[in-house]
Amino acid sequence: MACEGQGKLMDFVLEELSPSEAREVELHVAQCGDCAHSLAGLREMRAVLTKQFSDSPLPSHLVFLPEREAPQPTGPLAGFLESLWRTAALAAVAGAVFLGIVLGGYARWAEPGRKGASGASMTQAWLSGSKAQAIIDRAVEKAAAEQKKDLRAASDKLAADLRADQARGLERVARRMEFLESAQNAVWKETQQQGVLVELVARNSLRGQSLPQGKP
Amino acid sequence: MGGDRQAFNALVRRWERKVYSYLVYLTGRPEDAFDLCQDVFVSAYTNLGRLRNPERFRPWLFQIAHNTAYSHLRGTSRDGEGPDGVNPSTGGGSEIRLGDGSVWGKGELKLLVERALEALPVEQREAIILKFYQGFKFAEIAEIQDCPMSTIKTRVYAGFEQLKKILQS
Repeated sequence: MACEGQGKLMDFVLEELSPSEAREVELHVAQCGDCAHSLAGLREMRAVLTKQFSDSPLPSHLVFLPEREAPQPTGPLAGFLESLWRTAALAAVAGAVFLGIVLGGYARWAEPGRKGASGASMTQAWLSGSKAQAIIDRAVEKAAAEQKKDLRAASDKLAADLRADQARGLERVARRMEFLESAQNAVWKETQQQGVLVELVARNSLRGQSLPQGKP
Repeated sequence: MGGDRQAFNALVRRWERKVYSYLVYLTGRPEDAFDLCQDVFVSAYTNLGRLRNPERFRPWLFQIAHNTAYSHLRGTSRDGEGPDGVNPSTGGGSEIRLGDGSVWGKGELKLLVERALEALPVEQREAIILKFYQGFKFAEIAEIQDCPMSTIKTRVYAGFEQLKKILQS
């Protein structure tokens, strides 16, 4: 006849009882042979089950890279095109300055009623033109230097972005290869285990008797 | 966390192997388990703001893993494989009766336990894995599987008895 205490044995083995309930079970088991025997069997089975579980090796570590919040360029070329637009805008501004200076110089030279226009005023006008030319030359030189600097920066950034993309691509390939290698090892291990089992069954069939007792 | 990705990556490092192993036992396919594992942590990061009690992170994470795994299993439609992820052609037929249940060696017994687990319905298998492998309490398993604690107890007891019968037959 089954003891009434048997109902709580499973919860006791699984450590689901409160301390007071666990103490009651311990006291009962100390006095009940059937429950003590059942408890030993449950504990053994639990130990067997717990030991068989093990952590599986990961193919590769997970690295969490959440999506960026700000809108990103679609690729390295987008940054390069952006710098080209800036350079074009700068060139347009330099051209406008040049045109303004030329028109201003011409207006002063063509002004009516100006004294000594053929003499000193001509010389003065000529000097103004030279000065204006110098200003224009400096402006163009500066614009060219800026453009050269921007192009160099855009080129460097493009190269760095391409290198980073290449590195990320290689890393993805490496991780995938690690995973495939791990999967291959798992299949090989499974095959070996299957081989062991087949051999054991064959051996048992040939013997035709109960197998020797192992350790409890 | 305040959006601290480095801290979250530390959490990932801490739990990735446990979650991955749980998914391998549940789905039986390591390659699917790895992809699902990534989905689990992405979902965890996205919904981290909903976790009110940081001490509940572990059962909360496994609840996400449970939902992710079951969504995958329901969507799986391979030949001969039902929504529970167990292939009927290998579940019952792989049962090996070797004697009176004594230990035959670590590898052999491990193989027997794995085959016996595969023969269980997926809910019982998961309950056994969460109880005996991950060490959760019944109340936590009930939260993960989103069902009453009495149901969890029934699943664990039934799964345990079934495994016992197979291994001691």
